[in-house]
Amino acid sequence: MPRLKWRRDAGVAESAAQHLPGLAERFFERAGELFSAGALHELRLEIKRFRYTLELFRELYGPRLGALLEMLRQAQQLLGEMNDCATVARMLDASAPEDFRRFLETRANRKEAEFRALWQKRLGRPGEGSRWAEYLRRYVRRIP
Amino acid sequence: MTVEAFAQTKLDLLRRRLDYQVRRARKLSDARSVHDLRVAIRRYGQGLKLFRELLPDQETKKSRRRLRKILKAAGAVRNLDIALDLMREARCRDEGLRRRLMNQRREARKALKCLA
Repeated sequence: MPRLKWRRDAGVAESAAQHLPGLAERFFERAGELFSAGALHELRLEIKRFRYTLELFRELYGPRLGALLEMLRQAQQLLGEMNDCATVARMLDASAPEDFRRFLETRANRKEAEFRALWQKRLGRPGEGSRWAEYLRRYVRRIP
Repeated sequence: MTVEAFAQTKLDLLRRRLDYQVRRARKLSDARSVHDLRVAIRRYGQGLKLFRELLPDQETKKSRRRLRKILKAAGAVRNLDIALDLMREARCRDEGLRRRLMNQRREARKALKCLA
């Protein structure tokens, strides 16, 4: 994530409108690259960072931001469950039961397929980054 | 509201949540509390990173260093919780493996309690 140059005395709404659209554009661009390269572990971390950042600004936006956050949460969860299987498989030694290993592999494959379907249907759609950037620029609201 | 005041409010809130999760994990040390502790650390860490321009440099570095250590220790407990959970889901009845993982978890939990 790039280092953002906040102006201390600027209003939070104008600061969000200034910085968040660029973050969204960069996130979707980078996420697309990672997805195409099959770098799903790195993609999971990018999704998590982006989601936690947007959540900090939740109160400045309407319910549409909630929809994006929910999509990110689902994607992060599926990738997390996939990663859990890989982590546990690495923890097992040679004496571990073969059927447990197979269970982990099957579960990881299922989670990956679910994630890919979610990606194709929602987050990976062409123009998704620009759409969210536009939303984050235009629909920010002031808080007292 | 200025961005500085907003950042301070958010970081205070995240810090309070983190302190609560540290106390809870120290007391319970169950899978849920360890998971929630990790999430609270990550959220606070992301807040510190995002607003680092507005914070004293030393403070940010010191906090993040300490949090990384706790996160690593909590991660070790969490991985073992996941392994045990997946064993249950897979109906894996290897008692030796289960006992080994439980023992490792006890050790990992001790290490976490020393840090948190």
